[in-house]
Amino acid sequence: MVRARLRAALTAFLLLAPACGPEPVPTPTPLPKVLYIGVTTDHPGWSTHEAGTNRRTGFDIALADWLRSRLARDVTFVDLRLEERIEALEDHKVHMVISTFSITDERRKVIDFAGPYMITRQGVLVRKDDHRIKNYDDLTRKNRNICVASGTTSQEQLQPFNGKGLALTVEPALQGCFERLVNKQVDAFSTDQLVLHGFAKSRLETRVLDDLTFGAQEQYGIGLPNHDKSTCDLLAGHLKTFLYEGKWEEFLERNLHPANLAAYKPLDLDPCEDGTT
Amino acid sequence: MRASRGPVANKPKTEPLGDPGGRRTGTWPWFIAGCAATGVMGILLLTMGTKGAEISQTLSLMVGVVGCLLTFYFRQSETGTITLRPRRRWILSAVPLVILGMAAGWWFFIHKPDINVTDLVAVTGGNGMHDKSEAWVALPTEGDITVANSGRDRLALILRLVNPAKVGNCVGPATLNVAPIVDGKWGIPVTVSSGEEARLSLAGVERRAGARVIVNMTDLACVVDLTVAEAILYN
Repeated sequence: MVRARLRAALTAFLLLAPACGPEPVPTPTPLPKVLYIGVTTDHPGWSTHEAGTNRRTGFDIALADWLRSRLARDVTFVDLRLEERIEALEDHKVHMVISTFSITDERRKVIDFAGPYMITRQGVLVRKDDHRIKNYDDLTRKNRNICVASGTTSQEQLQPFNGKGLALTVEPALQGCFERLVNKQVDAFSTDQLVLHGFAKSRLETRVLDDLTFGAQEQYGIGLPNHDKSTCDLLAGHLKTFLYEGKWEEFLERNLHPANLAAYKPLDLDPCEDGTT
Repeated sequence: MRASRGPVANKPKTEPLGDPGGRRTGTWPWFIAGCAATGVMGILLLTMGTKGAEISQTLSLMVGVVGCLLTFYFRQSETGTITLRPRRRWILSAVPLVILGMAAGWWFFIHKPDINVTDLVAVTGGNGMHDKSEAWVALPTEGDITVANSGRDRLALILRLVNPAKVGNCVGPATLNVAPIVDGKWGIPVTVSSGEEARLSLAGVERRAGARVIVNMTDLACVVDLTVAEAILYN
């Protein structure tokens, strides 16, 4: 009789426990032992790769290395072009992308982001001896030839002016735009101002127009496959430590040393997207 | 030599549950009705989406308690006889029925179902919103359903921001400050994200009610549109 009562009580508990519990929490996705991280290879100051020595340098590489130690995982870098970043995440060729990857509402529809860990705006790079472009009107209304990389937010922001006040040259990679600028094939090269600082640092015959920024903020985040909230939450926690406990300043100073570091630092991280939406 | 009939054949017969006379067919209508009711209820709850999930969670507690009581008190003893005397059995049967009756009475006579007014809500100033822009949400004051005659005093409002541009991280970090206004009086504001439900009190509404929405965005270059994804009047 006692056993029967015990069984009944146990059954009742098992039946009722789910009813009284909180909302079901998605099971965290365990990170694999080896993380495949998508990076670019031709962004001076952010992510470069020397083929001979196999050496990688830049802010994004430093961040990936810092995350590797925090997550206690091995990392394999996967070389990507800018326009390949979203596809690589959608096809699960990489676990994450760390590559001056601007968070946008449009991109959030197909992938997730942890971040932002950097804020910049669109900027303009010109040859050091060229003083024709001084402001936004000079850039967009005087039929200058401006180079942007395909698949970037820079292309999106200048595309409406193409053929109306400027001529847009689209290159598959940022390095292509930089070469065109140095070789005097275009009047200016536009992309995120912090990225341009990296290029200007690598070749002294160019300069960033410090006072000319435009468009929406470029907020860099770590790109993740869609609906991966658990990994996003995990990375966001580490990014907070990265941002507010000293390493962020150290890495930025070492790789890009812009004038005003604080201007590029996010005040807070975005909430990770709910996996159900 | 006669063949053995095996252990099954030798097993003593037991009385069927709740039917000492062996007339098991009497339980089938209840079984079929129960299955049908469960199926219909399941489909109804599924069609209600998240509201259905909330209702099923609430009901599961009651169903669980009643189910356990029934199992416990009507269980069959090892000898196959019912342990309770008929009078006590009927008293115990009545308890869950009374509970169910009270719940049904509350549901049908006291509880008022939610009224979806999403298509009747008017939004002013919701297009091309910058940081700190204001928009106004007005609940219906004319037609068959008005906020005054609805008999509901709460509003569940889901607002959604849309960034029409291909650039900008605007919607994710944005917050919406939603303040109810009932007959010209300001209520307690709540802060929500895009797509998150804001629950507002419309208590005492006599003529009109609505809400003022202020959008807060981190990027001052952002321009977004505000839409009402869902507006439900409830009690």
